[in-house]
Amino acid sequence: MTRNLTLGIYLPGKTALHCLDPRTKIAGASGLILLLILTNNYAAYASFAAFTIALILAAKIPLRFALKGLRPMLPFLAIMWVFQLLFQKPPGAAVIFSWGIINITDAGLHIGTLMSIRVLLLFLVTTILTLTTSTVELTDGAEALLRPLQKIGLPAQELALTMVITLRFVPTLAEEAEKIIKAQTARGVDFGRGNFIRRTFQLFPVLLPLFINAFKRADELITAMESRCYTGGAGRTKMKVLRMGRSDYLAWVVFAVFAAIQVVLMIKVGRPY
Amino acid sequence: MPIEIEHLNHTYKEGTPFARPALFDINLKIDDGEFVGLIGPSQAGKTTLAQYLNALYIPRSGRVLIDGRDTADRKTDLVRIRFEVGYVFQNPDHQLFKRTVGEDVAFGPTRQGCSPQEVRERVREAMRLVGLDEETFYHRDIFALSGGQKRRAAIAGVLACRPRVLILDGITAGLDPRGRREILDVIERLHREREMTVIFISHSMDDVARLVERIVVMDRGRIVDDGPAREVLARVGRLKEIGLEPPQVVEIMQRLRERGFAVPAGVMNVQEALSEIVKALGRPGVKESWN
Amino acid sequence: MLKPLVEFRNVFFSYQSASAKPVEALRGISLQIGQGEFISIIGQNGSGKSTLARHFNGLLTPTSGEVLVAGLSTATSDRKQLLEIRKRVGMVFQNPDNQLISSIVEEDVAFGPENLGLPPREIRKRVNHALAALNMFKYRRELICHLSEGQKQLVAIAGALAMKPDCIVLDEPTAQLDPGSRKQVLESLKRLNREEGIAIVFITHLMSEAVNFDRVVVMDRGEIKMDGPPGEVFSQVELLEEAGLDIPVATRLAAELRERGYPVAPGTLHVEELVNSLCQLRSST
Repeated sequence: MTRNLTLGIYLPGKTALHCLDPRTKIAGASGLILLLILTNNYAAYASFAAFTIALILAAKIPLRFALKGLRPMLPFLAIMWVFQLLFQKPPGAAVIFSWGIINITDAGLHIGTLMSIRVLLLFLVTTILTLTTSTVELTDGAEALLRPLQKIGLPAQELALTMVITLRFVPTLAEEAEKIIKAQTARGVDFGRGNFIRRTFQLFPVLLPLFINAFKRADELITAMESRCYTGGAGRTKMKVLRMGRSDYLAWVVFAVFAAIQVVLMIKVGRPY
Repeated sequence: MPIEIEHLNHTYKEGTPFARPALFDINLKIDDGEFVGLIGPSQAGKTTLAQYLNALYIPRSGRVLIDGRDTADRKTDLVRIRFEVGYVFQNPDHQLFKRTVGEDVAFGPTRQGCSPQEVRERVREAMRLVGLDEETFYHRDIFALSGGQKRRAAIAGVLACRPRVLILDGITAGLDPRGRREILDVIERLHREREMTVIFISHSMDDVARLVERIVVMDRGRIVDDGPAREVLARVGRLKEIGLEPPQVVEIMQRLRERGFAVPAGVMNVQEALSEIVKALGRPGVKESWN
Repeated sequence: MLKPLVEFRNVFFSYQSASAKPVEALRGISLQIGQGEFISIIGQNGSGKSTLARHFNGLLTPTSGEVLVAGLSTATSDRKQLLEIRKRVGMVFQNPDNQLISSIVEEDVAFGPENLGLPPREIRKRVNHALAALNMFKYRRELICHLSEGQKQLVAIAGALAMKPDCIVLDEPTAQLDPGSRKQVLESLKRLNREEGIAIVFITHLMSEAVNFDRVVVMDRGEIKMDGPPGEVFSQVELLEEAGLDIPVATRLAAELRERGYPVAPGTLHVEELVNSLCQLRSST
């Protein structure tokens, strides 16, 4: 069940992308996502996709592995696409297909397709971020970026620690869920069959032990943290101090140039409907 | 119900950058009524191999035949195979999911489509076999059980399905000596009374030595030894090499033999060892006769 | 005599519960642990050994009696004093998965020192030292979830070591490990004890592990039944069986042979000892 999971997995490496300051990467990914949301035509998406693939290659992530992560999203995208197709009828759009009460407009087709591409690219960008940035760096970066907000009462340190612990337990719980599913499959529970509702109900016996165990884990973890002198965020220091370097400045320049290209493409080409 | 494995290979996390081979060309045949110990250090592939036996894994390379039925064949009824080959997991919390012991033990036979009467009968029998008194435990909350009792409840849940093969995967790990003894007694009785095929997976050689007739040793995805328990245990050096700790009795007898004692190889329990040592020493204070 | 590192003075402890009557888990424990000792506390489930462990650093405080760490009472509302105690006494628990906080080895080891507010360079120094001491330095950048259970436990021990404690208490740290990892953990602890002078308190239900320590404390139903060097403790086979413990095979054989009139040394613990004394017996008879 975890085989197709690419989001949230970190692939250790030593590429330039891996070595960037996490603040650069988080801010950069956010910038890219903003660009994606603004993008409105195929040419700009093509250019964006090319850039994304370049990033994947630069990070030495096996391309097939990155693309495989998209697979679980495809059914959702297909449903979304069909919905857009059926219901997007902005005034003035030309009908390109008509059958009974179903009318499909060119705008619907474009909006559905553009949106699907957007979601796929969005997913890829996030995946690249998590594949090249360890969860610890991610939270360090997020904590550093959020720290200015500590003055207005945002508990940045505690939030960051919550993130660290959450991410630390994702693989543990995934592994445990797999074990539970196996243990119960062995007892004759059939998880693969029945309709959606039945399948959801069949998950209860899996979730119950998982939850109960999770509470036990949480309890033990708190004890362990206390034993290691944790008393809240105040007064803590960090082993790693974040420092921006030349490659970070270079990354910012690359991003600026790319953003400029995208903006030009958005304005010059315009939306297709 | 014989089990046959032919040229089985397995890759862990296949298709991801973390993929690594976990089983290499496994060939194994287990006959009816055998009592097999599957031992090896952790990550040797014991659990992975065992999970092929009840169709939790389906071979992509090689074949697994349960009573002649190929688990990779689409026509094979896998749910039935899982009832016939019962699997008890290390952590009972993963396996128990009903509120009370009685309800949980009844789950399997109910799924098999037994009549309420038949279910009741089987629950009673299963609980008796694992030594959980029905009066006391039928309505007992699962959470109120001790570690050892939980494991016995989990075994009962599997036994109630009347499996012909029973796989016990690390079920003594983490128990204290008393809990361990209780569980081992249950298993011994099961094998004797039921004549079931039992596959006992453990990294404790002491447990294995006490119970089984045949030992299969695994290391890094391969079967490295397979034979009658006494013979395998007598190859102490080899076991140590792969990080297993041979039972102390075996080790003591081995060392005595090395030092010229006339004791046989492959002694596996303390009583036997004692009488052999006494025999070799002669009566206390009496001069040994010349051979 | 030197002041003891940890001292239990007639400690009683009951688990309070709203519904049932309180359960008495510790009944009059008096125990002293000195600098650099290498101790095993052994008992079956329910003997109170885990409850005892939690008294070492104030996770639990006595219902009556007191526990002193370097002269400081663990029953204190002063946070600084409690931190001082926890800095001196490190804890390692049974399940490594439930005590590691970060996904990456070195980040996890750094967690304790970070809590102390040490400067980054000092933290780095301690983390590197702790990992090296447990032969885990080459795994410092590894993901925790890619380690074996035994390696995870070594990381947990490194995490305790990075606090520069006087004493590390380990509550059944090997219960879920295979024999190979078990041995590795035991050897690492012995090294920490011998080379760094850290007192080790090792809690287990396995006799075969307890024999490796300099001093063995046997617990049964909330009380200390025996306390002494392993040779002395393990020669009392009946008392041990009464406490529900497994006697090591070598010890049992020795006891049985003595009963049959063979002069085997009492308190035989290891295979080697038994074999040697049997060989001597043979040549003398």
